[in-house]
Amino acid sequence: MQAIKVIVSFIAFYFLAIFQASYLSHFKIRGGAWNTLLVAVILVNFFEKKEDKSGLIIGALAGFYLDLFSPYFMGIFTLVGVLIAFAVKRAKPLFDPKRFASFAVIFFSALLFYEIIFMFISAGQGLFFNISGLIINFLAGIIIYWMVRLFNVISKAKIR
Amino acid sequence: MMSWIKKNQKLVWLVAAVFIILIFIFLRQPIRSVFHSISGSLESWCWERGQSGSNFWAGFFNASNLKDENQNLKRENRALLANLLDFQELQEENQRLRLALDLGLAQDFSLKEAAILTEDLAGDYLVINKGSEDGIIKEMTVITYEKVLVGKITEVHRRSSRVRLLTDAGIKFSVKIADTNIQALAKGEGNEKITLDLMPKDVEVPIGALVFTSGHESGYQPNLLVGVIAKTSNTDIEPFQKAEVEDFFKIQEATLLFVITD
Repeated sequence: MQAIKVIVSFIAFYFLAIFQASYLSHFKIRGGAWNTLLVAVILVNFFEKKEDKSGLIIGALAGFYLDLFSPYFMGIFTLVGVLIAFAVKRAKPLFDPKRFASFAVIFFSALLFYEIIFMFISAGQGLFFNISGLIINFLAGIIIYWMVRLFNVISKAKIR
Repeated sequence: MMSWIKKNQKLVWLVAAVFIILIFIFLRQPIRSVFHSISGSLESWCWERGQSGSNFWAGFFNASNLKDENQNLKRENRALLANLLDFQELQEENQRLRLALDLGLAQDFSLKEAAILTEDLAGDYLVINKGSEDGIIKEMTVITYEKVLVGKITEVHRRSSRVRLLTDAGIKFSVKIADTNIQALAKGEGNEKITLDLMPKDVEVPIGALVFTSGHESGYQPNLLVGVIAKTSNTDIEPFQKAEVEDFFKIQEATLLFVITD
C-alpha cells in the first residue's frame, strides 16, 4: 500500500510540478503563487497514519521536483521537503488532529517554516519574506482540508 | 541480506543519503536537462494555456475599469492619429536607411529564437527551450524582438536553459537615460522590479524617459531597452538620487525571446 502511494505520488507530482511552474506561475499575486507540491506534502503528512512512513518519501519526492525547477543548489528543497514532512509528523500527536484549529496551526507553522528557510536559501539575492505566498498557500490548504472533510462525510453517509 | 539490512538500518539510510547527495552534486545538470527534454512540450503547452488564462482573468477582474480605459484609449487614439502621418514618413525613411545600411535586428546580433517553458515561482527566473545543442552558453544575453533586455543565461542544459531576469534581486548593471547625459546603476529588486541608483542629486530625471543599457562594461550589449522612469526620489538623507523603472519586459505578455549568440 505504501509503495503504491509513493508511485502514485511520483507520477502525480510530476504533472503537478509542471502545472505549478508553467501554468500557476502566471497567476502570481504580489510575488506569491500557489505552491501545490508544498501544500500536498503537508496535507499528506497531516492525514497520514502515525505508523505510515511514506509521507517522508513523498516529502522528498515533492522537494526533488521543486529542485528541478529551482535555480538554487539541487537537493536543498528535497531536504526541506523531508524536514517539513518530519516536522508535521512530529507535531501531529501534540494536537487533536480532528479539530480544525489543530490543522490550521500545524499547516501555518509548516508554511512559515518553509518561507523562513526559503528566505535564507535566497539570502544571497537579498532577504525577502514572501508573505503573499504564505497567505495563498494557507488559504489553498484550508479549502482542500474542508473539501476532504466534506468528501469524507458524503462517502460515510453513502455507506450507511 | 535482508536481515543484515534490517539490523543496520541506520547505516543503510546514511549510505543512501550520502549517495543521493553525491548524485545531486555531480549529476544536477544532466538530471534537470533530461527532465526538461522529456517534459518540454508539456511545459510549453501549459505555459501557453496559463498565458491565455491569466489574460482572461485579468480582463475579468479589471472589468470595472474597462469603461474609463476605453475612453482614455479613444482620446489617446485621436492624439496618436495626428502623429501617425509624421511617423509614417519617418518609418519610410527609416526603412530606406535600414535597407541601405542592411541593419535589421538579425544583422545587429546573431540571434537564436526561444520560447518560454516555465517560470520560477519564487525568484525572477525563466526556463527557455534552447540549450547547449543550439549553441547556447552561459552569460549570453536574452532580448525580445523589440530589443528589450530580458536577462542573462545562468544555466545551460541540453535542450533548455535558465534565464536570470534583470529584475532578480542582486542584479546590477549600468544604464543611461535617453535624451540626457545621466548614467545610473540599475538594480534588480526582485518581484519584477528595477530601481536606479547613483544618480547625481542636482540633475532632473524626466519621468517617462527611456532607460537603455550603457555599454559592454554593463555586462550587456549597449542600447538595449530596459524600461521607462516611473518615479523619482531625491531626499536629503540619501547621497544620490534614485528612481523606479517600469520594466518593458512583461512575462505574461512575452511570446518569443531571442538569445544573442555572438
